[in-house]
Amino acid sequence: MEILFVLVPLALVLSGLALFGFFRAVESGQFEDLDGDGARFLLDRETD
Amino acid sequence: MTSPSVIILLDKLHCINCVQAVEQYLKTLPGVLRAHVNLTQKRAQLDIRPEDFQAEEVLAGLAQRGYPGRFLEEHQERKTQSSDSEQKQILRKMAFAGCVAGNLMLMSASLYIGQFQGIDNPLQRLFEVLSFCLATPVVIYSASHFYGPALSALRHGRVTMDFPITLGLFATYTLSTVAFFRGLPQQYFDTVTAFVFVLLVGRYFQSLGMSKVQTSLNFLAGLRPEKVRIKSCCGSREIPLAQLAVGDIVLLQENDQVPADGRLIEGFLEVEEAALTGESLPQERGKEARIYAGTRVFSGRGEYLVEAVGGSTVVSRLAQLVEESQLQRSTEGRLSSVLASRFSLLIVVMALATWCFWLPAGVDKATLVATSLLVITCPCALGLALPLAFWTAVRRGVEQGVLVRDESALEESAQITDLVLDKTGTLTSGNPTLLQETLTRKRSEQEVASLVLALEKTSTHPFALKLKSRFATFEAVQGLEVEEQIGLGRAARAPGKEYFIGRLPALKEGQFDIGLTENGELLATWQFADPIRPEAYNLVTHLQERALNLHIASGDKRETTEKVAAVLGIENFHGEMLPEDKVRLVESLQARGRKVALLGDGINDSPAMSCADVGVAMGHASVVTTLSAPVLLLRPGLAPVLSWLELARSYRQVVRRNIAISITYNLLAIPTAALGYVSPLMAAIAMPLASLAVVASSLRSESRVK
Repeated sequence: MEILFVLVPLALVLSGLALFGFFRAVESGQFEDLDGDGARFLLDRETD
Repeated sequence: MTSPSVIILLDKLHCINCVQAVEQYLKTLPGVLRAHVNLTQKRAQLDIRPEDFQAEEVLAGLAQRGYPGRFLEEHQERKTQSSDSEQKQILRKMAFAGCVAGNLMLMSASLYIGQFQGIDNPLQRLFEVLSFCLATPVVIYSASHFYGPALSALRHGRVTMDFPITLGLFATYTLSTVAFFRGLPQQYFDTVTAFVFVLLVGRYFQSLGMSKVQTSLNFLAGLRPEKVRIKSCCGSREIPLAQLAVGDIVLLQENDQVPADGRLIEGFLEVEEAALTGESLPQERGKEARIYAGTRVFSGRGEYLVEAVGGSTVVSRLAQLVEESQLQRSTEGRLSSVLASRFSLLIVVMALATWCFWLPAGVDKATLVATSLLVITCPCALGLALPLAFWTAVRRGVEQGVLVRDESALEESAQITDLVLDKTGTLTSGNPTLLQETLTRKRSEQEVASLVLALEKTSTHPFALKLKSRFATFEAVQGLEVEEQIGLGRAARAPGKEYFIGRLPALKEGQFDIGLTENGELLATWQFADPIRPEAYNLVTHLQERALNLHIASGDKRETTEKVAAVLGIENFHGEMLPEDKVRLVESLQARGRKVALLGDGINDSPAMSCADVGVAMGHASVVTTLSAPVLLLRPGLAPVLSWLELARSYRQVVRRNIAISITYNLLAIPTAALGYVSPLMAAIAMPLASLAVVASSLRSESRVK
């Protein structure tokens, strides 16, 4: 079971990354418009 | 270096296509570097290059495309930003707590199973160390949302609901930490973090709900035109909004923003009141209908008499109401917060008692049991669900045209046994037809007309309005100082002359409603017919079904009052009532132990309304009445009366249900915990479940279709 000594901290690091991503999302205001941004994909996007 | 940004409020955004249209337009403009539309908050945020940015043209272009808007003002910006950042804070704390809680729960599962199956010591130690190291920042950071306010309330000598939560958290954490360092199994870091997470989820949803209300209100308060067109002596002129005063007549046409509250006196409009009621279909408004600041004229044209400006408008009052409650932590005397603090104290005392009681079994055991007690009991019904129930009721109320000032108004409304109704304008349409006009020959029609116009200049009584429109082609006499005699009429003095228009109870001869006198001599009389509102019959039936006693109290003649009462089937009626008489009526009912609500619409109702248990200002009420009324009906007519009663009833139901759930839960949980049958983990699961149940119960009334 020694592998757990690697896996568990690794799992924590991964979830830490997810948390970091979430914080970025919150900061960029993605949670402020749940209605509009949710439907945004329906718009025809002009090719960048 | 970031470019400056501006925000444009756009109330006409309602779907993703609008978002697209606006964004595409904005992006084509010079001076606009970036444009992002937020559909939920109905606003567009633009990064601009100030030199090229043409504010007026941008607004014009948007309006042309069907999206009129205005720039968000500075002071409002601060308000919205703070609620934004509060939400962001909650999200971050919540995410952190949740992330840690999830991981800790997995590790705890292993530790738990390990207690039975056996677990390698190094592995056990790994999990324990990780649990401690991860839980600690959660307690310091995420839990600050609770212990921060709890401590600052404590510093002001008050105990809020956050206090037992904080105590429970710290007790559990301390216990677990001590156990960690001593190598004992009682480590509940997963419980602590899960507890914090669940609580924060609840707070986030609460904050979401609040900010939606806040958004629409901020937005309403800013929705006022800069210039207003008013009627003046020679046609019309434009004045800045700040100069608009009560008594001015505003001219409205299509696409106008309504600048102030008032009553329509001429014309016909369709008004879109989505900002106020959430109803996006334009509503028809004819004469005598009330128009509210913050709404928009969809079509038609008309003139309306301004009755309330600025901070006195319904919209501003609503905003104030929300603002006051946003500072809910500092509201005093509110039933729920008072109860919550008593309850919190009680819990703390019980926890201490339990701790002492269990001391013989060891400090660890005692702390464990006491902690479980602290964690499992939650005054969430009081601290969370009751305010939520109130807010839900307020929101539903506004949608149905009922504005409630505070919880006690709603609570009292549910206990009403007697309803005192005004006659003119409430049960009757308030749009009287002139039956007969008699002019004695003492003065010419023109003189009579000019006197009437002068005396009734600021009156909004249905009879006065009728007379004013009848004599609209004449000019008012200048220089008269008019004095209102509440409940009777208006009087004025000029050198050597005394004028009066109104009820003349002394002169019983002949049948008329209003008379004009000069030095006591009758110049003219008018008789009106005031048809009963068609919905009045329905209302009376419904009210009687609810076993409510109805009373008509009117300032008008006894005979007309009696007639109306007979037609509607109301037994108790009183005519020729002065304001003091109405007060006496209310008091006599209250002396008999009844709970009285008074539905009024004029200044003459104000004293009685404050005396009554609940004062309800009708949709067409004068401004002074609305300012002090605990309940304000936003729509004309009698339909809101039923909505109001229904609202009070369902609110009471929800409150009772919540209290019942909370009490039952606590009665079961507290003894169980005190007797030591509950581990902190079980407590941490049970408590949020209980609060969720209470929250769900409050929101259940939301989904009921009305």
